[in-house]
Formats: sequence, structure tokens, C-alpha cells
Amino acid sequence: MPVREATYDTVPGAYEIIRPELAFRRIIKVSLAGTVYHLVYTGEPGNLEVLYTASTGGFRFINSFGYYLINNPNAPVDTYIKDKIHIIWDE
Amino acid sequence: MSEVLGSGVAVQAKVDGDYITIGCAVSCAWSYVNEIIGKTDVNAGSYRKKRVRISDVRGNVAGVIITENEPTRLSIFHFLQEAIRRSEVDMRFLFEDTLGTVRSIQGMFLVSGIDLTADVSAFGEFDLNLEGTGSVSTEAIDPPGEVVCDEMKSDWWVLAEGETTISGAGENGEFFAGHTLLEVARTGYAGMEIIGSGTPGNAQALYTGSTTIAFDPANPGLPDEKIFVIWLESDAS
Repeated sequence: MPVREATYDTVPGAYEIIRPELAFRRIIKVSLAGTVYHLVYTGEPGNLEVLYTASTGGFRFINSFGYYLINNPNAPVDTYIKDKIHIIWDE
Repeated sequence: MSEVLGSGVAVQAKVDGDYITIGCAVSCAWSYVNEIIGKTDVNAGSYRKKRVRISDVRGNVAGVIITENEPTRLSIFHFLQEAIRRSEVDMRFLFEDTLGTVRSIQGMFLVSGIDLTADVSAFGEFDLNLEGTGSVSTEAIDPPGEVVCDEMKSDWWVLAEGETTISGAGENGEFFAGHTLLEVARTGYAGMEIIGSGTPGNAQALYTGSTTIAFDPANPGLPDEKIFVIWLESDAS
């Protein structure tokens, strides 16, 4: 059972990431910014759902990706951290 | 896994104790055919049973004609000599893969035919057809290795207030040390990014394959904070 995991950066404002290396895989878990999403394979993703398109390796959400602010007193400017997606899949 | 390219295949003939490549060969072929015949046993009345009777081996080498034998190349004219073309020749086919592993098939062959062709606008070419006589031998090859089955396990740890690491046994007595982490979830955040070096930042977990998972030093454990971990254990580990 070659199960793998990886974390991917997102682009704020986008709704989807495309990972061709994850095409036609058995996806086990998807979490976005610390929240686990329910996997759906057809239709449109609803709240707390992620639509996985096997042919492209696409993961689409209903809400756009965001970022959060870290107010670091030691840094000259505030630091923005983009939302990250963590995926576990079976090769 | 490594592949054998066409350029990694060579046909050699034994001359004065040494195997020398037949050249300049551009293609070669080797075939093995079993004669399958009927067999009789107690069930043969219901289903046709068969067995192998006699095996045949054939080979073929084609290439560009060179006139002289060289220390590492054998001319096609070598095989036209009376003593060679009418005698058994000890030959071997070599198969070298891209990693340098070599397999060989060795046996005795008779020259069954030689074709020499030439076109005014191209190299003269030869076609050497070989018929095996007697058995062939090849090296033993190791059986396939055992399939290593991974087992997925999970457990949870309490991240003590003010601490930034977890280690040792989890609350259910499991150990992640040395295994492949799949998921590290901290209270309120599932799917932390697992990094293998450096200093973990926010939403990151540092795991170097040892006994400890470390978290962002700027975000130490809060009261009653828990860590949930999923990992893979293989039979071999």
C-alpha cells in the first residue's frame, strides 16, 4: 500500500489546484488550512467539500483560497502566510 | 528496475578461449521454441494434457561487413572458413541493462546460413543465421523479493503546555519513530505541513525520521492541546 502525503501552496483568490502527478489516484484525505474536506467526485463542491477530478488531478473548492497574517514584531513588515493544502493518497 | 537497450545486446563467438563480439552488428535475434506434444494421464480423457518434448534454439546476427578480425571484433568472413562453417561454434548472447547488469545465454551453434548483400550506395551487409545444437545455459536469476506490506497506524499525544515537541509512546502505546509520517494534526489544525529539516513555522511539523516531532517554537502547546499522528510502518522496519 504505497500511501503518500504532500503539502501544496495555494494562490490566494484561486479556487482550485491542479496536480497532474495526482491524476487517477485514490485520494484518502484532503485538508485545506487545517480543515479536513469531504471528497466528492461529481457535481459542484459544496461547503466543506472538495471536488476531485481524476483526469487532471484537480482539487476544487467552493471558496477561494486565502491567507492569514502573522504579526511578527521582529520583522519589518507583517508576514502573509498562504493557505496550504495537505493531501494523502494511495499510489 | 532497469531496461536492456538494443545497444546493450551483443553476440559473441568463442575464439581461442575468448568470446569476441561479432561486428559491426546492427541487429540480432535469439529464439527458443518448445515442441509441445500430447500426454496421457488419468484425466487425459476429459482435458487434453501436454508436455514439452524437444526444444530448439535459433539465433541471427545482421550487420555491416568488416574484412579483418580485430581483437574485439569478429569479421563475418571468420564464419565462412571451412573449419568454422561446418563445425559447432560456442556462442553467447549478452544482454546488458542500463545499470550494467549482464545476463548471458550460452550454447553451441551451427551456421545454418550466411547472406552477404551490398548496395552501391550503402555499406555491405551480412546476415548470419544460427541453429542451436544441444542445450543452452544461462545464469540463475534470483526469485522476486517479497512484497513489503505497509501498515497504517495512528495515535495521539498530549502537547504539554509550553512545550513544542512530542516523542515516545502515544496515549495508545504506539510509536511513530523511524516510520513514514502521513498526517500530523494539532488541535484546531489538520494536515500540518511535514518538513524534514529547518525550523518549523506556523502550521508546520518537523520530523527528521527520529523519535521527535517538533512544532513552531513561537507557538508552544496550549492547555489541553493534543497531537494526532498517522504513519506507515513497513514489514521491513
